[in-house]
Amino acid sequence: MIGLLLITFAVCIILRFPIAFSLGLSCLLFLLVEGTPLIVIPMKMYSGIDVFVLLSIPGFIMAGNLMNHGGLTEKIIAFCNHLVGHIRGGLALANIAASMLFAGISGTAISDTASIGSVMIPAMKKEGYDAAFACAVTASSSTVGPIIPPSVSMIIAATLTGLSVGKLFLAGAIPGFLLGVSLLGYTYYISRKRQYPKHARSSLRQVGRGFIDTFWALLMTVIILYGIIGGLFTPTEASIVAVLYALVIGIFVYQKLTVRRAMVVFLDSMKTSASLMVLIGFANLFGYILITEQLPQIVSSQILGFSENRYVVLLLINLLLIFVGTFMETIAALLILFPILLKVALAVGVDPIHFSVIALLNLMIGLTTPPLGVCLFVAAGIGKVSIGEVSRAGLPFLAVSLVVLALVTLLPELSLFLPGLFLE
Amino acid sequence: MKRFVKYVGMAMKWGTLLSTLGFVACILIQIFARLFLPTAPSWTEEAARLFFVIAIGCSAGLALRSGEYVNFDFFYRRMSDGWQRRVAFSIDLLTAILFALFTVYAVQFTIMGWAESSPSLKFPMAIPFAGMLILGFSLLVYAVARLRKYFTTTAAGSRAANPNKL
Repeated sequence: MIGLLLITFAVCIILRFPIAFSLGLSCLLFLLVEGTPLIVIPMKMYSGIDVFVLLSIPGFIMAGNLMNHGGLTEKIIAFCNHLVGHIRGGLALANIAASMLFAGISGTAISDTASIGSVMIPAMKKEGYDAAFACAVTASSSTVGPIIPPSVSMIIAATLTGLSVGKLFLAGAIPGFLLGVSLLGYTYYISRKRQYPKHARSSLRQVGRGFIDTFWALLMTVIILYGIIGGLFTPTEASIVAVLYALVIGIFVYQKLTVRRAMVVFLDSMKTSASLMVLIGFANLFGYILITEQLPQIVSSQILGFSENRYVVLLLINLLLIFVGTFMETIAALLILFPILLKVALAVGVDPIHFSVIALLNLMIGLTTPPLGVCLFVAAGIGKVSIGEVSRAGLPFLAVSLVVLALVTLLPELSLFLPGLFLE
Repeated sequence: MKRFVKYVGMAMKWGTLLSTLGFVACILIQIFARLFLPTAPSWTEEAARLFFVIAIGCSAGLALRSGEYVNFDFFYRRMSDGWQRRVAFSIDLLTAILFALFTVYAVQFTIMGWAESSPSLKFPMAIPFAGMLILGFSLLVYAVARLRKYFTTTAAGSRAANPNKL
């Protein structure tokens, strides 16, 4: 019977059903065939979304959108350009640096690709960068965002495991930074090789001005992290403080926000949140069926039957997650696979916080893995380049990301050092 | 039907905005009370969750109308126009069936909630459970509205349209 559930789900996904509805339809068919009362559908949807920490998701989305209405993307890009634009390949480097800074505001890779890419890809093409390279840089660097805190995906992982959101946020900081720096290193190497352009060095005054322009937005990330880590706020409270802060900054500092506009942002943010919550609700039902059918135990015994070596198990999990991450939306993949694979990881002695970072990093890498990686498609669409060209240009970036993944997998300290330092 | 969808849209929009402001206000009260008052009220978390569930219920249909639900269109884009139209119609039809059933059972679920009351505020649990009814209903309305477009375009004399391309 579990085969029916999984096959229906796969067929629905392939046929372009929204992932949330694919989960719902496959569960519906399963329940009908099994003769289970269908009242379980709204019940599980309700129990899936009636979780206090999930209120932080619309909070963070609203705060990010409110900030963006003040033209934040352009301000961050301009600041990064002042910082690194004078280095060879400066615009490409600014693209990656902007993704690292933008991480604290947006929290999702696809929105990073779309928002930063729409500004940076045309600008890079105009300066003579290879279009496929510009798309590949944008797509690869946008995967840094959801690893550097705050991150919606980390909140979901915390909800699934019962781990502290603050610890998970901190756990992602070093791996995210490492990934960003590695991408910067490779981009610099290629830029020197291909003699990509560099700008005149910005004056200290210009750098200062750029910093002031972005300061208020960056301060929001600091307030969120300090509030959560310092025990001042819960993640949900921190997200609402961020909303209030973004409203004040948008109205009084950036002066681009009106009450009417803020209401539109609230409405748009709630639509995005609702699409995630319907996904979470149906995934809760899907997970319930998988548990009643004992799939986690089956998967666990299959993987552990193949090997009980921690590194072999982690390698298998990495391969599975990258594969799934290429075609499935990150949060959906997390919701479905994370609880199953966590059981396997715990069985071979992997720390749950470490595993959360590994899982998220894998799913992010999946977004830029050819031929299906979603971020590659988004970037190729903006750059008007074929997906084949972007995939080829993206392969070295993929290799760099895989090296970082290997380091993060093999060295748990990279993920566990900061949570241990601040939250023990 | 068009007017009905319009009124539902208005109701959902205001429902979303008011309940969003509701949960934001509850959490701000919670923060203020914890930081500046001797004791924090116990009802804020419960009230915030109630507003949140209602807000999600109201905005779920609006999200369908705006195309917020993520899908994977790698294979779909490689299909011919005719197949794309058929698949798009099947998606909308099955979505409507899913949420029609969801709504029916959400009614039962809501009725069940009259027998229970919330721990702090003592309101009947039917109120937050009704969030599921709103969610199912709003998604059903927009799924049916999308389906209707195939038939209205056909009735006008042209081939059935694909609302994804409208």
